Amino acid sequence: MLEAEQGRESFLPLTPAVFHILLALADGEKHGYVIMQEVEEMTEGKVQMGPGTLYGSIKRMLAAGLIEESDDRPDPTLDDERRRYYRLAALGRKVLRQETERMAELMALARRKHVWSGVG
Amino acid sequence: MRERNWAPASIDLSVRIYTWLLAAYPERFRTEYGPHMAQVFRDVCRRESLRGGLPGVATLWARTSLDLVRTSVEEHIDRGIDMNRENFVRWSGWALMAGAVLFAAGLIIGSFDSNWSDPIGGFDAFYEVSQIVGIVLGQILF
Repeated sequence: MLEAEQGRESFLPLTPAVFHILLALADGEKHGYVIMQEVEEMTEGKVQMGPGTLYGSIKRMLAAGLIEESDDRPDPTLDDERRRYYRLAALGRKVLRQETERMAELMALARRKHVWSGVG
Repeated sequence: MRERNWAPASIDLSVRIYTWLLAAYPERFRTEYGPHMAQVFRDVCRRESLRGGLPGVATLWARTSLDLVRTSVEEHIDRGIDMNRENFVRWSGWALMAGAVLFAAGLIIGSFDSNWSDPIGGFDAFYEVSQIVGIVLGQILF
């Protein structure tokens, strides 16, 4: 149990691309372009991934077991059936939760240190 | 919609160029993800063309070029980790020779370039182009 916990922590901190891809997949499976669009919308355009960053990250996340390819193919009349869909793996969900907890702890620490006091 | 007549042609041309530039990635990565990257690029190209017209597509190209250079180098480094001793020695030799040639070319161009101290400088562009050419040549050679 402790080993599994340490294994998950070895992923932290996540790179911005990996974190945002995991976050985009948190509410369901998506294909590459939708992931890219959602990341842009979530960050109000501050994070814009190119195809190389997107698929390079996807390759590494698949290898690490953070995400998996979905076997369910969409209705071909609704979408291009050649597209690959990705979803969060159980490990990916746990790692995402740990990363957001780590961020929350950092936020709490910053609040205790009055980092934002006097900042307009 | 008359002003958008150029759009499909510019998107097709952009996708064709991008598909050609995918040669900069290692073959395995390109085979696995190349078609999907080209498809995503086409989707983004369409969107930028509708949103920002030709300047939008130009901005997309600037962003995508940087992404392509950075991630293709990353993928080659990734592949390098699995390299056996024989390949490592061969790659090192070629890299050393390519480095020496580029260094000499840089010195020669620098000595003729009157804008050497210009912050816009031609050397950076030369360096980036050399990097891409080097990677593509590496793909052809090995």
